[in-house]
Amino acid sequence: MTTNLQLFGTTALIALMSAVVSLVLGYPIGNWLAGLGRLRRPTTAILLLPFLLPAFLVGLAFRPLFGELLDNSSFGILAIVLAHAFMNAGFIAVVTASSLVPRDQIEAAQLDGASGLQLRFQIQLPQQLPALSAAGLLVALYSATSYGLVLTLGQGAVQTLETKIVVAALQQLDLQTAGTLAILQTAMTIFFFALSRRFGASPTTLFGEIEAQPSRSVPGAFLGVGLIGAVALVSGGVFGRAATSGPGLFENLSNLASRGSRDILNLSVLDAASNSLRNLLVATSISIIVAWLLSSRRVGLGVLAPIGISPVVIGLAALILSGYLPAAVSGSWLLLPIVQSVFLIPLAFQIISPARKSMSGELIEAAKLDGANGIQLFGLIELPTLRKPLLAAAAIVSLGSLGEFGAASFLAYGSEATLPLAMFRLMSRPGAENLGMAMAAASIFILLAFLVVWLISSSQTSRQER
Amino acid sequence: MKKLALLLASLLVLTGCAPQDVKLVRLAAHDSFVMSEELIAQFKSETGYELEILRLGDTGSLTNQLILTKNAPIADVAFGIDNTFLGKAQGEKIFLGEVSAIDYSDVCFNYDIAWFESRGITPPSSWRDLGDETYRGLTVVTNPNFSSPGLAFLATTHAGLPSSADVFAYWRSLRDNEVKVAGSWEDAYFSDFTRYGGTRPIVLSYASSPAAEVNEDGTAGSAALLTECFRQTEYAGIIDGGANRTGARALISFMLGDAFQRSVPEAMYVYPAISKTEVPESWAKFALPATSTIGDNLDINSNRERWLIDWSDVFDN
Repeated sequence: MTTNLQLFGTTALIALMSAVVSLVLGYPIGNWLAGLGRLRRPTTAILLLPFLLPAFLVGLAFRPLFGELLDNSSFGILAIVLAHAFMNAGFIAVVTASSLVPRDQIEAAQLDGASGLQLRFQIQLPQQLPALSAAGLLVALYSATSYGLVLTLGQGAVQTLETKIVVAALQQLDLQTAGTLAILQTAMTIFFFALSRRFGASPTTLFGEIEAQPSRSVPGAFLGVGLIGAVALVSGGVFGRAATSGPGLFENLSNLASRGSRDILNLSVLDAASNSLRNLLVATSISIIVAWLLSSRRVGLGVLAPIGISPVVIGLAALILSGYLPAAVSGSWLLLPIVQSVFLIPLAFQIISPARKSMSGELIEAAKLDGANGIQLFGLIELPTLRKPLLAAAAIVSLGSLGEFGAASFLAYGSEATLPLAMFRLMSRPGAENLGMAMAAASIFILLAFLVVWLISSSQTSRQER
Repeated sequence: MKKLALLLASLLVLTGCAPQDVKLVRLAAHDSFVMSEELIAQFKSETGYELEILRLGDTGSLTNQLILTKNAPIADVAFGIDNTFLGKAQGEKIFLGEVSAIDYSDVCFNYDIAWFESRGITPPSSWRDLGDETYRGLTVVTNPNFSSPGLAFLATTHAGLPSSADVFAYWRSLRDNEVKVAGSWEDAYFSDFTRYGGTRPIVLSYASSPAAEVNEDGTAGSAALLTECFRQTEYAGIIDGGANRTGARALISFMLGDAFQRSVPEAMYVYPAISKTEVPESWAKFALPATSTIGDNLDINSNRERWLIDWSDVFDN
């Protein structure tokens, strides 16, 4: 039997390896990305795409690539780490590109005779370390809580705290053991925070405006093109299945208005999408408002903590609370967007807080001296100035809510099911028609995600061009 | 912040006020439960009761919640607890009196007909054949720790073989014959099965699955091995202490009635428990239930943990 300590070890190992591999791959890609010029915008959009995909789609796309190799559980762990790196390296690259050292500093160092290596390791990296370790922490937290991916690629042979919580709670009906493991999972989150604090982690502005000195990076170009290839392969696989499964692309798309072959869903995919949109509006509003209120305060990295709460643990809490809460509260659709915003506030905070801090203090002071009240200050000065980072935050948070699977699978049942749940339910029944519908819905999701990332990355380039 | 929290709390309370009404019957079910609007309307017009359905996640989650809330029951009827969890539910005394079988599904291996035909290989006739050299590297099963057909097949081997040592030997023969163990049914079926681009023409699934695998020319795409399958039966029962006992009785007899029974194959991919019920044409032609089942009397609840430990020993997880 696997002991709790081993489970803790495996989960921590997967999370840390995922963070390290994502950083090692993402850092050179970021340097390459910064020097891309006009191509930077579409490249950013492609690289960020996997960060926003539901993990089960990534698992499904990766599984055939590894084939029989997955039957070895050590390789299973490696495959999980690689899939995490695929999802997060682009995010690290964008953080790297946004936290580059200003051009004048680099030029000054060059005048003083600094070599390329000295520039990178003595000037750039130390200044980027806070941003990179905050991003690495985020990746580790995501990677410690990716139950679906671990199950698909680990094939049940790779056991983590989350898989064991699920077995204890839902197979053995042993809530006490599940609760103990949930405490261990929470302890791991705290451990990661302590670790990242040692590296001085602090969030950076993601869509920044610093005039940076891009550096030529050959390995970066190589890895970047490789990552773009992997994104193309994964999305191509989904598009391909949408076009070829069952009755073909057109029928698969028009079937989305139905409840699936033989009505296996409790609602149509379109209804599920409208549930998702409703949840998205609530979750985004809460996240942006709370992140805005938090960003003016001195709050530390602790804001990121909720990301480390596993959806499996939330599901367990909901299960136990359902014994005490009135069914009308535990069964209300509002519960899901509220829980989702707990995960999403940290993401919104990461984008809004640095942008708001970088706003000129003189402007606010001048407005205050002229007698502007809080509302005027917000509506006439802060909002117009920070419109773009706010929009970027709203867009990322919206996609986060739209693609969220873990908490939804525990909190949204029956006619309240969301889009990713409907996709997954379609895939959990035999028949090519159902698979084709699931893949058609997934294709729309991927295109939507690409469009949103494209739009928000434009805020960055258009400002630089000005 | 406080204002926001208050606002959210009041929204929750507003959506939460449903008046208690004796004309209401509440059904707690798992998330795979599907009942059409027409049937809900028919139930109302026949009995006068409004039906409220609470979906409580998968079968394990449903059973948990019924146990956790047994002192203040959240529903009048529970549907969907199967023979893997029934022992636990009855031990916790959540039901009043006997439960009624509503539907069943048979866990059997399926094979890709075209794959075997094109290679001139005879398909297996029973799960007992899968350790044969002919089928080396051709089978995918699901991990019994996480998947209910996986657990059902593990139970099948315990029911079908005389001793634990034989079960152990059988699983070792599967392992040595390069059986693949997938994490979930979805992975096994849509990723490893040859009909969906995988490399395994034999997959652990259900006797009903071939109904969804009919080729465009109307011939069968897959077939199930129908002997010695494991039957998963789903039950409905009156919850002890529920508010509306008469309504609960009415709902259970409606679920045993012809209209509801006829709907279950297409809605939930299961067979109606009332044997004379008419099934859809594609089912009658391509997805007959198992010709023989084993393991119906196994006490899965008390054996599960030991079985899973033994199984994991074979696969060295």
